[in-house]
Amino acid sequence: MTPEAPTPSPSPADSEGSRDWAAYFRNAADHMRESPTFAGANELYRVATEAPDYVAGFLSVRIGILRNVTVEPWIPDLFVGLLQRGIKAEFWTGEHDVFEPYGYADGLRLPGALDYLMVHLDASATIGDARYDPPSDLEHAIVSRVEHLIVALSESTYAKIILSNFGPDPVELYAPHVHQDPGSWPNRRRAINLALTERYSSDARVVILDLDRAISAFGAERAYDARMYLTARSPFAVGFLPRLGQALATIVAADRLPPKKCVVVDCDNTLWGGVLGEDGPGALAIGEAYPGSAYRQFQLFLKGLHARGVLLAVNSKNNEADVLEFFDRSPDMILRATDLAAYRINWKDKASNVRELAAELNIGLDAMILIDDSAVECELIRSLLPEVQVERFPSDPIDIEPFCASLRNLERLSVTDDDLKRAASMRANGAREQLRLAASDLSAFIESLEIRLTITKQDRDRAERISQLTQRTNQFNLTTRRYTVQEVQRWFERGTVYSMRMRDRFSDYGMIGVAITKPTSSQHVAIDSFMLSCRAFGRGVEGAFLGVVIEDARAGGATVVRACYLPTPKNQMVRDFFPEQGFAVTEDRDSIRRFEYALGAITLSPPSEGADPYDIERIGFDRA
Amino acid sequence: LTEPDDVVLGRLFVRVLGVPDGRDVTEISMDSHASWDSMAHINLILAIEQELRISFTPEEASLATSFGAILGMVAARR
Repeated sequence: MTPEAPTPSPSPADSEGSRDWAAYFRNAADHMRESPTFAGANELYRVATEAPDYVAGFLSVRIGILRNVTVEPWIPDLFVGLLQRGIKAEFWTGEHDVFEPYGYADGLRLPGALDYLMVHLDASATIGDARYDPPSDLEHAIVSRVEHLIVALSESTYAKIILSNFGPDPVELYAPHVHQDPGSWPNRRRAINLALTERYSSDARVVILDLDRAISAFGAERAYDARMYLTARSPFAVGFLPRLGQALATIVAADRLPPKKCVVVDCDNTLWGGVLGEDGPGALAIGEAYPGSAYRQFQLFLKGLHARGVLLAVNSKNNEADVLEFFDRSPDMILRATDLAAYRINWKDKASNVRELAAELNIGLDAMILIDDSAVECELIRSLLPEVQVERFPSDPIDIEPFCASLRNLERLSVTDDDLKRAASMRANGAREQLRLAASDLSAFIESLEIRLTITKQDRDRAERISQLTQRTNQFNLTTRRYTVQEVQRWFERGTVYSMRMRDRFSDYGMIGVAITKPTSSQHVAIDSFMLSCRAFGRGVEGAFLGVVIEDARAGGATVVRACYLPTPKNQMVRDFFPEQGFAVTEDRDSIRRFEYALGAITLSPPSEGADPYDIERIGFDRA
Repeated sequence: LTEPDDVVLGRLFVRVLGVPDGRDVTEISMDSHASWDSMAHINLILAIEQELRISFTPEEASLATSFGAILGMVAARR
């Protein structure tokens, strides 16, 4: 049987002339997951070119491709890979084998408004015959060409550059006995890839598309189609193209979609084999021998996520004391209770537990992934809490590793220091909670924390974290405007970006607040964005932050500060933030509330001034 | 139950080239159909190969420029 079209093509004759593109794309993406065919991808991509720019529920991106091979056959599968992550892409391709001229003002022009620019230097076309007998300066020649190209392209586009590295190519499949020779192409290729990774690991504008890994995982012998390369300069077999789409989609999703912040796991038959309450701690499968070795792998996987800043939580029907004792006493456990940001180990329903965990950790349900081996529990959470990404843990331990490999939405493009600090600061929250109970009132509690704030103006080195906060902050966010790193960099030029770091007796929270202002006339300043990470709630630091922003606006000659609140389903808590800080309401509609703060009077204190229980350090405020 | 090759081919022409439903695909050739350019040609050949689990030689691929020609090449493999 031949699979049918993804869904019936939307017909131009639909009643009222409009189509439900969102439903069409969702169905098509699901269908392509079940039966990925090249014809299906082509049809979907062709039909999609008629879709409007904006389709509800899908993020729109524009992707350019510079290349020295025929990439046109890839594009339908690149489109499908992105669509399966909720991203609708438009593509533009550069002239064949033309790279550098797009980087110079007197050369060729890239289209405006590209979000991503893929740079695909195919080894066969870039290095060519030299692969058979590589010259001694090959690495240097390649890496330096790439460096110059990227510098030039960065000047001519704001797009993030996605640079493919070099995959194992047909030459190394049939070249005999070269692996002992460090000068051979396969070994030089690895050296070039490593050099590119090292060169760009901390450059927020460049991401490496790991073609090497994608091809190796798929199988190099199957990934290439020699006939297509020789006749049409298109190196890849059609079967590999969906993998390429997934590799690209992983990068764009990690860059643009809100990341999952917490993994919630069950215990019995998930963290270990067997049931603690019935089998007893001595009979559980966890350790070096199968099947315990499979569960051990899973715990190592979670430990790795933890090290990259993902929070871990446990949600289990068990006796709390038994589980905690097993966590800390068992010599075979990889995870310890201190690795958990929170847990609910009780006999209540798991959906309520998940809700409570979200509240305790101050994160949205849509930032959680729940892993449970029970189909019933998974279904319960799916139906009651549809925002949570639910993943059914395999019943056969042999399937655990592929399960880990298939988990989506945990990728990050970079691990910032703040990611690492977040995990530590979540743990310190417990100690802080104890202190809150001991202090007589909130202000005494806040004072006892010995909070130190560092507010930096135009912190250009931290554009990446500033962008990340705009992307991730949902609750305490007055306008919820999301900015890419490039957009933040533009804000440094046309406005003022304030960022706030917080430390207290227990931990360093890293950067937890961002405010962006822009002058709208010589005497007016508008607050474009104002946000505070959920980790810093409940300490009143937002008032101090706003105070510094207003004070700085006044120092710059402003007499009026304007601000607004744009409601979202998540930011109700800040609806009255500006009025509470002394702003007057100038417009009050459901879709927007506007506020104004007059600075005219010489004696007027900015909000919270003089009443700070905080030690505030200002960096970059000199107006010299 | 397998469908006749011409039915499967006809559907691939609709899906890959965007030939309007109802149009007689057996009449279509690279010269007569605007969306069948050299890039679409690569995609069409790859889609046909995947769907019918066959492989054309480079010489065949360059001659496969009409519905009739392609159907003939497929038939020669049956």
